Amino acid sequence: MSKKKLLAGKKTKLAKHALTRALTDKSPSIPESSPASAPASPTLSQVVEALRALHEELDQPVASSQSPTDAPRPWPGVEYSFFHLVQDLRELQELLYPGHLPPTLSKEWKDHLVLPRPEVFQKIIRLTVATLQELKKILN
Amino acid sequence: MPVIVAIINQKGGTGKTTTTINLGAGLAYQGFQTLLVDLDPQGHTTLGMGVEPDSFEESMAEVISIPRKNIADVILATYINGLFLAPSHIKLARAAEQVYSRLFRETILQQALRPLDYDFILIDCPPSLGVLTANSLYTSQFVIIPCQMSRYSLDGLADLLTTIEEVKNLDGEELFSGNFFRILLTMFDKRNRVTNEFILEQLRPYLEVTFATIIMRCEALNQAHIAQRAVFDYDAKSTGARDYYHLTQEFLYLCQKRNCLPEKRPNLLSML
Repeated sequence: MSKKKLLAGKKTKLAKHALTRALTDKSPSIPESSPASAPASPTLSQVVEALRALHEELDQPVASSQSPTDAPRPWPGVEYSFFHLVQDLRELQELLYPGHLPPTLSKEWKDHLVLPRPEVFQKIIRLTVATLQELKKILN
Repeated sequence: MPVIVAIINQKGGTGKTTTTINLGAGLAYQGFQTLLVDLDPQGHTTLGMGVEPDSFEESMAEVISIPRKNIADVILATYINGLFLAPSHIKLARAAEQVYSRLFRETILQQALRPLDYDFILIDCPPSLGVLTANSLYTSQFVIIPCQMSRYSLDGLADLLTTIEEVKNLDGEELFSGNFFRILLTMFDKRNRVTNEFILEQLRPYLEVTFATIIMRCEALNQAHIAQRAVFDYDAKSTGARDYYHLTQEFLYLCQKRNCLPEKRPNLLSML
């Protein structure tokens, strides 16, 4: 029997705690999407192409923007969190598509640490989703 | 008015002291005046900050056992600018036993900390649910629960939640919605896939109150204890330094969301 099966169904004290039960009852169940309704995942070449375009976009406008001391800071550390999100995404992409992408962000981008425009933010999130979908396909 | 944070888990070895020292150092390096209160009679935070038990005359033992003792008399400056320490001593274990007969014994620490003027006060609690932990819970506005990736840590978490409900006189859901506590996953080793999946599944209902930052298992954190330094000073490029830097940022963000971020502009680049 696999180790996973041996652990399945084992209840800890935490699982029996009243708060855990209350939270579990309250959380909405996630509906399973049917294959027909699921959006088509992008092809490998589409993802790589989108990434190339994003690299150009990320490096250009940020390098010319104002210095971090001039820029308004909506909350502390968000620039760093964003930077590490992008860095982690690139590491994941490097695993998926070795050799297609530069391994790290440009030095200028790191030095400035200014938040990109909202549409670039949105693209990063979309690419993360696309990359994870690609990863899921490979794992399957 | 300082933000008072208790770092609690009655299971030993979950990363309470490591979190107290490195989150404290992270906040001080960001420009916040921070006090570490070592409430564990083992005095590991004291040792970890490079203060030897025979180098001071008074400690938290006296603050807890002597009525109206001024805590300012025991506070020491550490080697980090802006980071201060109320040290502990093994005598604190005896002192904790003595206060069981005192009225309002859960409020001793609150009375002691009241006059202090720091941005943040972090309390390193002992691995038990006794009077010292009850004092910390009573006085703190926020609780961080370091949780190692092990089954017994989860059991400890369940007991602690019950204790928090009792001390704060809240039911579990009020505690949850009040954003009073955050779980911090520590000593995470991604090679332990089956264990990790099991623990994360058990913690799924608590995802909303779990720090996004995960402290990975890191040898530099252990070595920093031996060197009696915060990990930022021991090995700034280590995974441990990176994780505690992220934790500091996430914690400050949480404070801002709760409208309790001290009005000082931290220098985000000072640690690089």
